[in-house]
Amino acid sequence: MGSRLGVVQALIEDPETDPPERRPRFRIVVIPERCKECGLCIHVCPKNVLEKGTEANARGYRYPVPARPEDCVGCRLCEFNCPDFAIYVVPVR
Amino acid sequence: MSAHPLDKYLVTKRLPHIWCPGCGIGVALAAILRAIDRRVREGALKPENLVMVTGIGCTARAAIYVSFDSAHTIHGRAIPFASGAKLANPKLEVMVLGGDGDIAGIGGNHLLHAARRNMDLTVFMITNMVYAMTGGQVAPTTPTGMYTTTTPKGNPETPVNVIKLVAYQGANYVARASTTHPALIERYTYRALGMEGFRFIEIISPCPEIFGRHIGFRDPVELYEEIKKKSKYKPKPSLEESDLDWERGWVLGEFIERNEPGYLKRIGRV
Repeated sequence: MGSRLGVVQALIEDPETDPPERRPRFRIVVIPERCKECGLCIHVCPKNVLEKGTEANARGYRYPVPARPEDCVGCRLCEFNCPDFAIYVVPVR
Repeated sequence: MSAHPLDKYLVTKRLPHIWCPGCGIGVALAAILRAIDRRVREGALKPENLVMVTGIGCTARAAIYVSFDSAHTIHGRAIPFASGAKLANPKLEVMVLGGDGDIAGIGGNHLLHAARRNMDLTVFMITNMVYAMTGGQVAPTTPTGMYTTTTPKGNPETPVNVIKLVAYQGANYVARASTTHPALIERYTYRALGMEGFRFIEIISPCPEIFGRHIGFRDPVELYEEIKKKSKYKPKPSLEESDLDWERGWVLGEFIERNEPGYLKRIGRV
């Protein structure tokens, strides 16, 4: 559970009692400089993993952030529906 | 730092591309590249034998972003260029990517004759129902009654049914997919790349800026949902169901599958 850093997060999530499926099985990578903020990835995600971001890239587009990566089931719909080659999903080993 | 799985087929220094936010062309190109990647990984295709020929339009910009050989040719004349490339070097796997204005409008005549010859090409027509790059004028594929910038009272014309047109000319493979169903584009492209003769795949694609905004969809997601609602998948559709109608929607599926000899086989070049 080395990926869970921070005292606050450690208080909320207990690695001992949390069921193993709560741990992220997939890593969602967003390439900020390619994003154009169309919102399709957020819309198509069946598990509501992504959320509209608050930070903007150099062109002023607010790229999405994977807010709930532990819910990701790896269907890659966000990757398939991204017109800008800006998001992809890889399994965590 | 890992990279996007399709980066090896893209000229990444040219990204982000010029297509508008929410444009379907990027989705279609990604699905086509994934199908190519599957064929390459199976050993059926070599990246150095791939050629992508495009004409003019938004879709034609795809030739600039792919890392394998490509040609960005004159308006509507992508199919003759591609035929020439294939005849000069039959080893090549030649693909034509174009919009509906490029393939069915300006280049409609070339489409007809390439299909009639069963020329060994894969043609992708990305249908967004208007001439988007020039400002949203009426296109041959605009459904009847549709508002465009040149038909403010609704389009009085009947749209050309490209699926039927190509099928009746004797093309080997005719299918229709939609960018709201990227897995279908990938599957059809994968199948088409393993065939000979003329293969035609129409891809319905939302144009959120020039088409969607003009007819009242303020957001790319709204137009995406509308197109998804109108697209119905059928496993074995008949040609009679291939009409493109905005009110009743359209059918996605593989309309024609034949195994006729391609043009190169007929002239003894294979």
